[in-house]
Amino acid sequence: MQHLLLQFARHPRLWLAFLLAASVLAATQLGELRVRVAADEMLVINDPQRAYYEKIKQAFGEEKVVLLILEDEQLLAPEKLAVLKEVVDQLAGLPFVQRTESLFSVPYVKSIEGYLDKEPYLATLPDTPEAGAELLTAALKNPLIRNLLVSPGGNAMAVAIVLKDGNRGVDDGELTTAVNRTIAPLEKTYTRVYPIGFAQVRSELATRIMAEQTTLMPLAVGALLIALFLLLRQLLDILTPLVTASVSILWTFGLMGWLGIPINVVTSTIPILLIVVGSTEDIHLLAEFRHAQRCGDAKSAALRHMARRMGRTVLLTFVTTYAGFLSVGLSGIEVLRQFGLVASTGLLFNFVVTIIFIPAALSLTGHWQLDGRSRLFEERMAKWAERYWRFIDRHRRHAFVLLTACAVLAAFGIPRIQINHNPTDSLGETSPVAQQIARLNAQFAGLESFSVVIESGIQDTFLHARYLQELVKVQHFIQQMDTSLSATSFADYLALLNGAFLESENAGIPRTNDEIAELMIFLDHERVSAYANEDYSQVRIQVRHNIATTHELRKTLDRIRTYIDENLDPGLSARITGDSTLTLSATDSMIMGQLQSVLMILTLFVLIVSFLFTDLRVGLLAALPNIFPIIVLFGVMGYAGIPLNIGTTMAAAIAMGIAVDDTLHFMLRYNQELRTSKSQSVAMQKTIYEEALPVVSTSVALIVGFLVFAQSGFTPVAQFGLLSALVISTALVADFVITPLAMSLLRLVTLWDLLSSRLRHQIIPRSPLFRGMRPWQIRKFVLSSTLLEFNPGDYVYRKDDDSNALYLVMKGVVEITLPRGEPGSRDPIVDQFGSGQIFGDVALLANEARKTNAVALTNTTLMVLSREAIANVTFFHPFIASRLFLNLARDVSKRWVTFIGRVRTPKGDLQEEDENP
Amino acid sequence: MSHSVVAIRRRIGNFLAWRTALPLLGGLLALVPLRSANGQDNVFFAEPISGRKVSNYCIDLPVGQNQRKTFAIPRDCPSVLQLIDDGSFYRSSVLDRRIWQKVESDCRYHGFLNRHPLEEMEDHVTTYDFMNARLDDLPIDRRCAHDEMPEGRAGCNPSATDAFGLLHHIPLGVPQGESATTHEGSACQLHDGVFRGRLHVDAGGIHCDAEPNLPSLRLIGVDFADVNGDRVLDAVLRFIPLGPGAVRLPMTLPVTRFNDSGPFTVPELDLDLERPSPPQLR
Repeated sequence: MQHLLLQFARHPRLWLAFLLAASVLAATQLGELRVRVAADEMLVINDPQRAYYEKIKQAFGEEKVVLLILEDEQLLAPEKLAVLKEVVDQLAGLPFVQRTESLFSVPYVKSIEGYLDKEPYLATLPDTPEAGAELLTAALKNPLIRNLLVSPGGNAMAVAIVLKDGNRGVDDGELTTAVNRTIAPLEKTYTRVYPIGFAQVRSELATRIMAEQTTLMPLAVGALLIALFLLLRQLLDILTPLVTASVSILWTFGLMGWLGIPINVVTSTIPILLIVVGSTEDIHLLAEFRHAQRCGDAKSAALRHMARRMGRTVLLTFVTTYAGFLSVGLSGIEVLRQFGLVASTGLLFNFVVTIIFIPAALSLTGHWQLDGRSRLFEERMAKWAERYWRFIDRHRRHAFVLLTACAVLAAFGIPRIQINHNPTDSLGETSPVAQQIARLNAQFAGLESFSVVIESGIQDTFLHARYLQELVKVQHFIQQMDTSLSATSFADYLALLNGAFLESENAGIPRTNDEIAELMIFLDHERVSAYANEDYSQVRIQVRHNIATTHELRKTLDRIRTYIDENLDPGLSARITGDSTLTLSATDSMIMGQLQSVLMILTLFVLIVSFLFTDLRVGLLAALPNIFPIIVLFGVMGYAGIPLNIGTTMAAAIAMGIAVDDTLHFMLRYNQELRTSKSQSVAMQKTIYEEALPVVSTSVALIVGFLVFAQSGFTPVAQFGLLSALVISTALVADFVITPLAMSLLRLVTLWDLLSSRLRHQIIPRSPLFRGMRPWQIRKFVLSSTLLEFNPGDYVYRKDDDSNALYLVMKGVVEITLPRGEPGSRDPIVDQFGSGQIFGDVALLANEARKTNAVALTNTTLMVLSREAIANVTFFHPFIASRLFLNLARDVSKRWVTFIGRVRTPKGDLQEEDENP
Repeated sequence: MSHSVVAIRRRIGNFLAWRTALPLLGGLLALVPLRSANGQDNVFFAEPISGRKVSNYCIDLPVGQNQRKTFAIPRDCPSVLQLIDDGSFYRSSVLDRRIWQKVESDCRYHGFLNRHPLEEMEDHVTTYDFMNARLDDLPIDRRCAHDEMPEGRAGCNPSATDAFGLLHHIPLGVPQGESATTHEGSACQLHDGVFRGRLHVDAGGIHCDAEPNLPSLRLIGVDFADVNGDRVLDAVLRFIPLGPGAVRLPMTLPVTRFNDSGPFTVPELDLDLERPSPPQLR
């Protein structure tokens, strides 16, 4: 990664040209980009229930309908009907309309002189309002009309505009406009007139998606600019994230256009997400570059510093964020899958653009004069970091109690979470279409539906009275459950026919096979094709409802299932299917997807951190600050009544994918600081100081960016924005409280350190300290040690320092001198230690203060094995410890023998005891 | 009786065995040789599917597996009946069976009305308002109606009078604990072709209670024909039962009289008719 970044910096013009060319290519595909909202994209892909429903739709047919609702106290007044008739005829003539169903076309099945009459209710317009009212009363007795085409109160009527089957290509907007234009004359005639259907819902969604792109996008950009300006105060650094985000959005839209992936409610959030989320890596890279510049590095050196320090970090944080977005793509729900795949690809584009553009741009413009204010800011930051660390270190117990209390409180809210997967809820309560749906639901049976399919597999089953009764039994049970439910079946039409023949309103369904057979002569299968298949071996009860909550819907369906299981004739089988069951299935998938996503990201994060630090405990501890925001998120959702829906289901995974980045940055920085700091406390202070600006900057930018979504008119999107901002805020607090406190409990050695030690294979195996040890035993020590780097002249320790560690020279030379305390005179040299040799062990084992000075003569790297680490190894791995002590004893003895030999020489002038003879 | 006539009678008799309302006439019609439809062209049928009152209709009938043929009724009635007699029809489903039955019934009825030419007829029936007929005027066998009578149904002779089981479709007697409210006159007659009420019969005659919600009768058609060739015009009344629980099977009652004011009787038919099986609901 480091080399890649430097490569891009070496040939900036070439790579910038590449970005430009790819952008031009992407721009050519923008024309193919479409806004499309489809109902079935909210459903689970490859759902067996969906496959069954498709089969049922094929058997019984499926009609796409727009309802024209008319409200008036005098619905069938002659003058109103005259206008309505004209409008209905015009509607039927629209190119995308197959037919209309209304009182003008639905047969009024009755008997005239003993023969059937199936003329529509309004075949002849009533002459007087009284005649109209009488007709309305008659229509309300028809179960296939009541609640479906005429409201039970008789003050609202519907005209079902059945759309042609091949209308998939028809634009919902055009359809809505054409219908609105045609029904305009009715607005003066009836009290209230409105068309409503999924076409209207989709049309409004599409219009508002476009509108929100033009309002929210500038808001997001503005918010990000302000946040970056307040935190970074660097014009170039503020603009760079916008450039990389713009290019990646262009590429993403180009890809969507090329692949034919439409913009919908969920994918419409991608551009803003890319601006917000994509800016984080930019900020980290730029912050590191500027840091090096402020330390006096020239442009090229600063670039090298940035590449070295941030190369692997941005790669790893990209991987976790990418996994967060991709995990949404693993959802079974089509719209979420599209979102996950497109958003993660967009993020990949953003990563590519960022790692190309930033080094290339900085190599061209990095020398430009910088703003001075940030230096002041940085100086203050150093003090704040120190004070902050001291504070939380001092109050670690309080912090632990407080955070635990918060987590427990939030956890109690989790069971209160509700689930809602109603696509029309996306519109929000203020939407005119949503309000019309609410009116429709209040007056009629509702837009939502499910079916109970009963079958035997045997021809003519439901032409037998016994089995027809079974159908009616289930239908009655459903009707009795809830009076707002409208359950209709083939039996209703038979009852109508029977009533007409017998001239009795209470005739009911035919009771014998012969009666049924007689009626069947006069039954047009087309009229009942939605209820019974051609050979009458399979029938369905269609249930229209306005159950808004998933919980209620699940309860209703469960009750029906239980009733069927307990009461249906064993010769029949029944299954519930339909949009509502698929919605429930999607809900289950959403919950599973949510859990999977969060678990996947956490697992990935734990694995990455554990791999980096070769210690599972580190991975698990590092997960704590990211589990905390998730608990808080779900708790807040439970207490605030924010349901799990198509928007909020993404919040945990996406926000988690982003939040772990900061933890990773923190961890990696801490690891780097540990190498050069002599204590963990100092390393932590430095980490807080170094990471505060970029982590706070990115978090604030993310919070502000996500809060932009809160302005969305789509409720799930607004809730997604709010919850994501909450997760990022909580994660920020957790990163600066839980992470430092948790990390200070452990000593950290990274895999990179191990890899570098592996490079020193020539040194470690030959070191007397590790003689006779197996590689894994050596690794144990390496894991529990730290690496320190010293410049020439740096003291490793001084006389009278506490002896709490022994040292293994990895690289360089260390000289041990005996300070005499006489000014001007040179201290006598006791010994020199090179690669592979150990020193500082005698005082350590003797547990006495240092008697000598240890000074690095060249650039030196030492592996420090502390008293505490040795004690830990002794406790947990006594066998390894015994080997270590044997080696130390041998080494000390050998040096003692050497020392005695030197003392006995005629020129030996060393009389004093030394810890390192 | 020839062998072929016996075979036809058996086949048609079996076919009609299940029917409730055409017990006798079904057998009678089965034996009627069809003649051309030149005499009575204004016979009305209930058109399949629509149920409308029509004088002819077209129907697709299954004549083999996955094979259907369109017939115009009554024009193609000879072909239809020929197919039935030959056993060349296909009735795999309830609906197919029932459609074939209806078409056959319509065709045989049409043939029944056209047995004899309507020329130089003595007419005492067309002036009667059958749509508002008094039940007393119709040939209803009271013995068949009165289950409480000591002799029970043993004394019932449907072949002579209530040949077509009208009374099977009318509630008889008075519910226990209630006293009969007898309405002579207007209650015991059809009103615009409909009778709704309770009917009880005793030695004194037929008595009725007007009960709008009870199963009842509707006269759906009156056709005039010389059904027995005696050159006296007969009226063929077609009733359907109404009300909850009734089965919509037309009941046919041919009546005639020999003067303008006399009571109606069942015309004497020149065929040796078998008593069909009691009504079966399968």
